[in-house]
Amino acid sequence: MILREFIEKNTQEIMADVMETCTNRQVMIQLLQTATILAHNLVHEKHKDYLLSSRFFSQIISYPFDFTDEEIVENYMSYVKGLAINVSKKQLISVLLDQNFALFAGAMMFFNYKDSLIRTASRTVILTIIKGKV
Amino acid sequence: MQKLETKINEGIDILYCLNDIFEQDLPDFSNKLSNTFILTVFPVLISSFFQDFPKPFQISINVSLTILVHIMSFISSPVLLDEICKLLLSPEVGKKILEICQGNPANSASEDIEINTGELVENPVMKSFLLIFQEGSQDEQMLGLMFLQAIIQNPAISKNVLADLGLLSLKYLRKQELLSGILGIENIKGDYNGFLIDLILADLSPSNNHEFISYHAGLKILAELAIGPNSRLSSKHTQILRKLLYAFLFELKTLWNTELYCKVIIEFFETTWEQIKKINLNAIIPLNNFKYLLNCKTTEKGFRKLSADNAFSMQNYEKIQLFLQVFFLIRKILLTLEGKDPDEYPVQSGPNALKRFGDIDLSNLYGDPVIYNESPAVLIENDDYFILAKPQSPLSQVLELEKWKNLMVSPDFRTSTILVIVKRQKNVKFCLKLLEEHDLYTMLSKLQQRIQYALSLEGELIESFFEDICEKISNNYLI
Repeated sequence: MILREFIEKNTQEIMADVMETCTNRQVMIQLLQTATILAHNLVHEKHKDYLLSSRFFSQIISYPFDFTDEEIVENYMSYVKGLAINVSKKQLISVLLDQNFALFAGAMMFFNYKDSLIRTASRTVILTIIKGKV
Repeated sequence: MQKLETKINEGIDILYCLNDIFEQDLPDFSNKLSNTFILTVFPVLISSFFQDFPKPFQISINVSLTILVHIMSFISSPVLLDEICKLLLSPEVGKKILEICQGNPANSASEDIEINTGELVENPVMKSFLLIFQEGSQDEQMLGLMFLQAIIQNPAISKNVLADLGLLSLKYLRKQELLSGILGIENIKGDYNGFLIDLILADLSPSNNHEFISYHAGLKILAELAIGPNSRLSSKHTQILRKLLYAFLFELKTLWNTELYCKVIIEFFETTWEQIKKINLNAIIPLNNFKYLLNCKTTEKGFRKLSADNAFSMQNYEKIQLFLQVFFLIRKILLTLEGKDPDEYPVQSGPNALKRFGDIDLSNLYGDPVIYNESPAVLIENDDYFILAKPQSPLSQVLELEKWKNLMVSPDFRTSTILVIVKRQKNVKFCLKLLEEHDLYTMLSKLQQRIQYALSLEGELIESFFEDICEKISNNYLI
């Protein structure tokens, strides 16, 4: 029911607009956390398809966040990892091809990051994508 | 040191990540990745072997070998592994790959380069690598041995490459022989690399003062290549091995002549033998310690180079332990070659051990009554073992059992007790209270005499064992 409200009210468009216009750090972090929660908790394939084709999810992967901010990096990688692990192989391939491998590039940015947890998350995503044999 | 270890572990993590990708069975992707690795990393890794061309990005041989050991230990890309093997061990190598290694690391690898086509040229890298075993520092030699060990153990390296280099393990050859008979598959043949074994055995002299890991790695390489159910070790190398055994025995006998070191040898003898008995020469020796990456000095030209004198000064008791370890390891290999059981303890000092909590027949034995753990007990008269038993007849339960030579005794006059301590085991001691206080000195003297007698007996048996080995080697008999 909550998801129906989310879809009917076109919430993802509002979130995409906020992301494009707002520069507040806390808002950005909240957007990333929301995206992560959605990526982790949706079960039905159709719901995932809806989100993956939405403007918000399309833009968030390649959005130029301030990656000098460690908290943004943590939340970004958390989202990227959640997305890579929780979608099907077909959906993952579709995301990669539609967005010109932005997900792969986003993970590669942190391959050698100073924080070991971020590094591990990055490498997990890369391996997951490679295992998909795109 | 901790920062260095962290950095190295991070590098090893990257190698593991690369290997995870190689294991996905994507030939095109893996080849592209291997190609990129060769173009970007090989110039850095291999440049340290080009003595005449120091470059800004050059790393020391120690660091290079460390990375190579880890690559050869677990990477599963035959493209990479075969090239590294050929670069370091083959007398001739492809001109293209040599040019890549002598050049600068590529910034990108947009083109696929065919490294296996074209002419073959003389390989300066191999000469430089083999020179390590003659002129390198102890750490460099150890790393060289670990590198060879990793090559022999990695199943991903092409068997044809290993056969050409004379590094196919005997286990693999035996398996191939059996399978070729059953399945009709091609049987890869080849002798082991005798020249390399010459270098390794020459390096294993006791005067080189290596750490045990170097001797272990060198002997393991020999065992992997040539020793097994159908051993193929040449008579020349067998003879060198026997001479090596004699060399270590000679060192031990020299130290034996000093009373202090004689006691140390007796003390270490059995535990060292137990330690070597547990060694499996087929098991991989891991490279865990990074201390050999330190100890560098700046030369006059300002070029940092690892010290050739990584002085490893040991106290004599550490030397004794090392000599015993290597002596037993070589003896183990020779016994295996001769088809004998290497796990039989060489010095029999008494009947088979009783078991703690087993039963003992007291009807023909003498003992002294004591109090142990608040209960009456009997200290049995025995030349080899300290035996505490319950005072029951005729069968009595053994409470404590230990060889006299492993014990020390100490009196506590205040409580009229004797503390019997097991050497080299913390907090293992038996507290014996005597029934009569005036018996304390008598009992103490008795126990000390028993320990001394056991040690003397053990010493005689060990000396006799050493003499026996000497005689057999001198007369060219089997060990």
